[in-house]
Amino acid sequence: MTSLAVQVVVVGGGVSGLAAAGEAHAGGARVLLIEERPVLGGRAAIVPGARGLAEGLMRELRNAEVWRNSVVWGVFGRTLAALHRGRTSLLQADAIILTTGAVEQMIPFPGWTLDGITTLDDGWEAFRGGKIGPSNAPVAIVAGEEGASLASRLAERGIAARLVAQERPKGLSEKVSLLEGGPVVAARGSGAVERIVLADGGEHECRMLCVESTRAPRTDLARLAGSPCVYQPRLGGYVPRYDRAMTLHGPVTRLFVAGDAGGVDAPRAAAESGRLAARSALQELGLLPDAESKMEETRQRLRAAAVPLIARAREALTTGAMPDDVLERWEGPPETIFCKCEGVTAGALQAAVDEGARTADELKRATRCGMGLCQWRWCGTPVMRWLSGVLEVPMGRLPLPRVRPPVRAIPASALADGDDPAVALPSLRN
Amino acid sequence: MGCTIAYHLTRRKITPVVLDREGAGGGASAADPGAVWTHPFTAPDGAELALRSAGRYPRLQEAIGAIEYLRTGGLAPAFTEDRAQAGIELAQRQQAAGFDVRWFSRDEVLRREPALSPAILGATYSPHDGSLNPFLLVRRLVAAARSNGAEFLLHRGDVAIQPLSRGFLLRSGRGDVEIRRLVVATGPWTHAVGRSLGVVIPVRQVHGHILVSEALPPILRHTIVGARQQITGEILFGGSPSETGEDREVSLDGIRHAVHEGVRLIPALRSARVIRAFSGVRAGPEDELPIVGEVPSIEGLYVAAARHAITFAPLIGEAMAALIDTGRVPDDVRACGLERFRPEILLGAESRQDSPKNL
Repeated sequence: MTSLAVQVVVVGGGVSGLAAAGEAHAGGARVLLIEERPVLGGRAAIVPGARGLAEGLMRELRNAEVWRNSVVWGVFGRTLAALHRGRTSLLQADAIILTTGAVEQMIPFPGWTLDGITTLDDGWEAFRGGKIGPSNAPVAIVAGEEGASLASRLAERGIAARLVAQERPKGLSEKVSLLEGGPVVAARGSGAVERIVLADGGEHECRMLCVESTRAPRTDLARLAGSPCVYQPRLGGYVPRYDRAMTLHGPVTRLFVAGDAGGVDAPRAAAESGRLAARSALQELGLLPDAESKMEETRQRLRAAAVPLIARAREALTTGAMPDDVLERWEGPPETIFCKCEGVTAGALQAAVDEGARTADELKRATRCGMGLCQWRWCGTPVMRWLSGVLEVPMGRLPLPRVRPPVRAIPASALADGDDPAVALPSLRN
Repeated sequence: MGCTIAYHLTRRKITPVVLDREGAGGGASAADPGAVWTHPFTAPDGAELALRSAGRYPRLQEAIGAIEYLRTGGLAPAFTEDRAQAGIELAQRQQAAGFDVRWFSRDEVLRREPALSPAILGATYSPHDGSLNPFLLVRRLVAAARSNGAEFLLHRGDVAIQPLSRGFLLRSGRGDVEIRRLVVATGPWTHAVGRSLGVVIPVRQVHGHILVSEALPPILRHTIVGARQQITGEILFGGSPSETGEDREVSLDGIRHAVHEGVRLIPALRSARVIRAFSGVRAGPEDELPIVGEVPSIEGLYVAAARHAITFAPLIGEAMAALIDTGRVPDDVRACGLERFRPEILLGAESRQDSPKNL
């Protein structure tokens, strides 16, 4: 493992990370931006609406150092462990800005684990990668605000697409038919999805289903660093606590959060919060002359760019005024799978609760839920919501499952020192 | 530990109350890789006890339900001349005492377990070693004990123990319990509990890391000291334990150490992905033998602790239940009583901690 000293590390190269890295670099700090994917831009590279913003920010990066295809897998005090070019680099950073974004988490329903059923963002990614063709038709999209756009694009390409919605959104292509029978209550098929069932009982042919789901902040690294989280549905789910200067609560100093990782908001707001976090870091490092007015200027731009409801929720979070008493619930048949990796159903979770399990970790020990490849990444919040309803305990009072490094599956060779030729081992599961 | 004792008490028609600050099986049990070791003990006493205990698992499994107990056979590989020599001598000693422990040369090991490193010098082997699922074991014991009348008071939070003129008062934020006889089965926290009662019980906290690989095709058949493969395909492998106290955080050094040892043992592990790591703390009685017995200076207070708690669960459960029921120490566990430790320590005359030793 190699060690590297950096002034400012920015984890995540989406819009907020790009803005933070650019701002810190312009302020004279030695910056390293780390991005998991092969390209920068995060969501803006996949979902339309913020591409221009992202490209502008990438230009402003100039010659700041960027590591693509690299993932931060652990936090140890203020040392970050990153997988880069097959080896682990230990980063000693004076300031750390977490811009890890947010990810959609599907609410389980019967049949949701069939092949061909994805979140909306994954649907966009497949579309951009040219992976949706006539064999996937008809495609059904369960839309919140953003799904209609994908439906239109597919239809314009000649791929039959339907939108599950109660009314026809403005701008929806005429080629997209509407399915008005209520939300999807089940998906059917053998192996892959073939039909979906709506609330009115109607069945419709469907070979690909994209379900727009709430995006939840990625909190793994913040939690590894010891930051407490609160549950705020307005911000997307669990959010780490931070203050007006985007400084995360917890034992690690000069640790900041920005963008959707601190609460899902509009792309411009994500960029402004990235700049705010960077200015905050620069101030801590003594690199920001006239700090107070610079910070206030960025705060105002953030306020202007944010969705008003989200801005208010964020204000409440930073001033500590959030009541932590939200109850959630999940209803559905017991054979519905919750943990995709291990095939654990709602019924199995219930049996574990009946035997005395009261926390996510106890459910894990009793059922193996969360022990698979994803390590709670896909099923964590849905299971917590289920548990909240079953125990009638607010989300904020349920202990979160323990998170430990590595937060991604990492080759053992990258966790060791030195490298020797490896013997190939096929994996049992993807 | 508490659950096996509770279960065996209920089989003698005694209905205990089991208390825990959290849920059942959340302490050392949750961090145990699940190996059942009968053979790599240096003391012949330890080996005999372990063998006897492990031999009871098939019957226990039949009584309480599936715990994925498998007699895979176990290997303890040696990488240095010293360890190889020690292994050869161990096998000779155990065979002389009538136990089936053999020394295999490197080739003999690799024929049976080709995934092991060709750098090993050989290994001791016993067909009696195996593995099980610790979570299932706890669940089944709890269910069986409960259905026989045991009461489980879980998630109590901090519990304070107050001695009464006869018996003890267990106080917690969720209510108090008064009992005549108390079994302390708190594993790594036994020393702290003992101190609160004015007794020094020589149980250290032993700490180690375990890494879990992604599910792999079956490449290990035996339980190996340092690695085993679960039915679901994951390989659990770990670094040898160290003495760093109660810290349950996963550390960089812990991960590095575990990878180094795992890859040294099974070279093919290098290209496997690690999906998670956990660190666990276990009980470490000072002299490697389990502790089963009544505290000489305090009436009604019993202690049960073992480093290889999974191996000793059947034996300790039965023995403690017998002791409580009949008042007599079963012959089985005569060597495990607290009397073997220096009396002044137990009485708390020396209140300093023992200095760490190399286990």
